[in-house]
Amino acid sequence: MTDLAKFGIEFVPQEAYWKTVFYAIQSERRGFDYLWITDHFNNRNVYATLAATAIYTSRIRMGPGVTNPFLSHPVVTAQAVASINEMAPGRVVCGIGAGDATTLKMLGVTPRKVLSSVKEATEIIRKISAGENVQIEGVFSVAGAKLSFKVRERIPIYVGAQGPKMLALAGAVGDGVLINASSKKDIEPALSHVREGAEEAGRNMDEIDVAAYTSFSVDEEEKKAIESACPVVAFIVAGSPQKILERHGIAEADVQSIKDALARKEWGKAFSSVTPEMLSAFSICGTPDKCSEKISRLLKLGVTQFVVGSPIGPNVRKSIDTIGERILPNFK
Amino acid sequence: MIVQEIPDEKMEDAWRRLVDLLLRSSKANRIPADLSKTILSHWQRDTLKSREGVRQLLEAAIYAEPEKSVSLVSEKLKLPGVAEKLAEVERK
Repeated sequence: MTDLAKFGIEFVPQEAYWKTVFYAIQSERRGFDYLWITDHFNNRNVYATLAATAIYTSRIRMGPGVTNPFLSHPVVTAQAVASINEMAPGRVVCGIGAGDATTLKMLGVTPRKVLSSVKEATEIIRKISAGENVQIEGVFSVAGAKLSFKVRERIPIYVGAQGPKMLALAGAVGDGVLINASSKKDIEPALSHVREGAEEAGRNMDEIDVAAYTSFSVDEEEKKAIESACPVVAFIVAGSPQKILERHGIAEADVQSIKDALARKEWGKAFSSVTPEMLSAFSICGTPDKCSEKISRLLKLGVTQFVVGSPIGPNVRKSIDTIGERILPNFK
Repeated sequence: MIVQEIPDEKMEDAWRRLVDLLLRSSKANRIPADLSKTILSHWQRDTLKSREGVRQLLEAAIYAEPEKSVSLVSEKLKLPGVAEKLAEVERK
């Protein structure tokens, strides 16, 4: 199997803060390298969660996975990650992307000039967190902003990307790219866009940490792992563009049946309509051995960081232990 | 103290089951902030399985899930005497 792969884990801070911190401590102990905390206004605040996590851990790297430049000005994002870095020196990263259109819409925010915004935000966060005085007149207007404290360590910036242009941008400006995908059919074309962007910017792919941000579920009993993955996959299927669904040969009628059930809040029907093809396209789930095989395939494509995303497993605590004991040793 | 009545051989099972009860509880916000910080400190030092760690977990479990805590101790850990004392604490 592939050597020296990095492993990340994603948590959605939707429950009491101490649960996320508990899992973070456990993930560090079990050998994970990166901790990504999602950023949605309706959950616990991402930076409050990261601050608590920074205090209780000592090795794992961490950052928002991902924030966006539309709800928080990039200078404020830079200030936040720089402050977390004071609690966890050299362990902070910053993921930034286009944001979740649904939650942005709830706040009356319509993202405009998305690519330019993410590109400029990356530049601003990088410069501000490096202690530079920033003056930019573009999508954002920054007239001589500078932090009043020093950040001794560089904060790598990861661009969360799905579409071809954002993937290329990630290749051009990111220290890393976070690709929301779980299968070869999605990762391969994504990587080619990242490569194109990197080459155009005169960069080498070795400079870019390519992270596959997957929907993941592991359990010693395959059935339990699958049952746990179905709700997440149902929502992914319902939200996926037609082009992606066609790429995986998923029938329109099957998708519509899930969409209809979700709209009627018939959760049982929606989740039981998830097919094996959908699970295979949009998740990595199963026994530790099966998951290891699938991870190995992604790493061979050029993925350098494998991110274990929601739901992780039917019992998150047990699944983190299982990953630490049965999966990570195959790759480290 | 109730925790002193849990036999040594049951401590491993006790901390795991109590932690799972708390992690899966939707009422975890009932746990006082200081108590959740104490639990995290134990977890950070890997001492949740100690008698003091289990004592803190039991206390948190009574705040978050009183009925389930009593039934966990009685049925899963098979310690009806301890469960009875826990129920008394909960009633107070």
